[in-house]
Amino acid sequence: MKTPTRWIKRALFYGVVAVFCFFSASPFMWMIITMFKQDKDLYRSANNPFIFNLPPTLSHLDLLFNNTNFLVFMRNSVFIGVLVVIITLVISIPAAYSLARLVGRWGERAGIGIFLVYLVPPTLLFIPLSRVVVSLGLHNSLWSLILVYPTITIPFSTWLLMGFFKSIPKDLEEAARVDGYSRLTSFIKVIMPLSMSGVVAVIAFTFTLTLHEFVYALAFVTSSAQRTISVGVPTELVRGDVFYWQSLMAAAAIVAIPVGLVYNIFLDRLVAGFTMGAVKG
Amino acid sequence: MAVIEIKNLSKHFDKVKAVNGVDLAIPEGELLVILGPSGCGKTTLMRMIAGLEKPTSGVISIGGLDVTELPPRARPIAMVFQSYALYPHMTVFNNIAFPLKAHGKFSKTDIKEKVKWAASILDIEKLLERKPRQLSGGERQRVALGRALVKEPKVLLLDEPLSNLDAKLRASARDSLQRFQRRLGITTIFVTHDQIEALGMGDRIVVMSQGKVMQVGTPQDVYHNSANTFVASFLGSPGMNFIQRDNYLFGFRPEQFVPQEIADRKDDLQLFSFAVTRVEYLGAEQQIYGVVEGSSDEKKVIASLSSETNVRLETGKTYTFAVPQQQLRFFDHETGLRIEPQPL
Repeated sequence: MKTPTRWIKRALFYGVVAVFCFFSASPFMWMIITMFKQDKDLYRSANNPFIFNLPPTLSHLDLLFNNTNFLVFMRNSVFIGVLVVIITLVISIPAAYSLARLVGRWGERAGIGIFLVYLVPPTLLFIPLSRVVVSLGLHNSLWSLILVYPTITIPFSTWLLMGFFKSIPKDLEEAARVDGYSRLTSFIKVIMPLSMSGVVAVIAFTFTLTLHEFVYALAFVTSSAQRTISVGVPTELVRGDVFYWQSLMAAAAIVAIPVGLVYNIFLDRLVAGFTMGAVKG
Repeated sequence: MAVIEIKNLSKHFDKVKAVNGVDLAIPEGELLVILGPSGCGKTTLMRMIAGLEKPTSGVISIGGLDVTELPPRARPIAMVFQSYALYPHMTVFNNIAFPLKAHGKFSKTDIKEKVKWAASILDIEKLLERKPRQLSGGERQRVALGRALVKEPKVLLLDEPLSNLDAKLRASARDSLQRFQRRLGITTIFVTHDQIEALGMGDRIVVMSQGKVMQVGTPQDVYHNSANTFVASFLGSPGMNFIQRDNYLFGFRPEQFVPQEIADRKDDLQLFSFAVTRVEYLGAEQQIYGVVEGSSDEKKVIASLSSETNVRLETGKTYTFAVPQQQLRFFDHETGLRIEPQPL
């Protein structure tokens, strides 16, 4: 009696998993197939879009790498991403720790206040922020984005990390202080290793946000050499009403697939990171 | 000479006086138990000795050194937390080695040797490669103790170290902890709300209530010669019975309150007429609830008797009970302080 129900349960489980796999993987498959398609194949509506009706070609990758600034955009995006991650960590870790531990009940309220800041959309903020950027002489430069992105990432990260630091028993750092460490060294040796999931979540969130952010990148940077991937790719590959679909797909896949892989490697930690922040924050 | 001297120590959180003017001197090698109900300030007192809490006023000195303003890391103390506070990301070895690595003055081989030494006294050598989550409650407690000992502190602070163990383990943990403290001769302060731990282990007991020290003395002292009604009723389970007379209270322990038939006739007995309202059977002993007739407030009085006793007691009947005269204790009605025996 037991075995059939177990088989049904298993079949149901893997069936649901298969549906989700298809749901999340099919856009990538479509992107990858499209990027190698010839124009004649892609633009004939009678053709099946999911298979190669004509032999694949590398010419669109050639266009992307050799006739656009794609590599420059990539370098810019990675540069901005890394710097914004560093700035975010340097500011949000101490902020979150002090709000979680030192300020008492006001820490909670301040934390909620900081999180509310994150909810103000960039479409509302880019006008006042453009005045700030111009007055600092950073317009049309990567550095404007390095300055502005932390306004989104720091509030969210602070709030996320606060949940982490709160969930670590105070006893642990007090034990470290009795064991001969200062507040700072007990934080580094005991609290930080236990908050790694949160830090990984912050890095992932911050980096992907700088990769896909569009409004600020479009508003503050106009010269092609300073653009990020999110703005550079569509502006160079959508010329007038001509969409270079295959090259667009190639650009999207090249950026998205490594990010997806990294997410998968750290999946457990990320889930722990985001859910913990959500429950305890 | 006293290893720890505490003078007029206070800690106020806003309006709450958690610790209020405490004076204590603890001689070398003593096992001192701080006993009190939750919220009496005992943990705050210990945290101030550890340096985790800054006193509002007063002085703490350890080994002749004024440590009042020093951070925990500069004090010659070690502490075992109620939760044990083992570092979950480190092995047992690294947990115990952690205090030694703090100052960087020990070589790797020194550290190894000292950890081995601590592990061998506590019989946890086999656990050194494990992580804390793979240990039982008793093993965690010993690891926490090892981590405290390894830096050879002048004073060992224990914050309810047995309360996370299950009841059966607690008895053997009491025994091993006490023997271990005797063997090392380390001055130890033990905070607990459990009077069995306090009476069974302490060289001396400090009974605290509402931030103040009620009495300091040996277990026999605080139990038999309680300084006030708080100590008398807090110690013993159930605590001392009190009966009001005119402007004073007198009290006696439930186990001293027995039917006249089985009272020791050599003693000078004080007799009471006792109306039994309830008999509670508790295995080895039974507790008799009732009212002493002629007392002015008709308060419930409890007698603890062995279940083996020949005297049959029934609910709703009145019996003659007796207490030896020398077991009666007298207290001031207003202040609750012990006073000279009064004529009954």
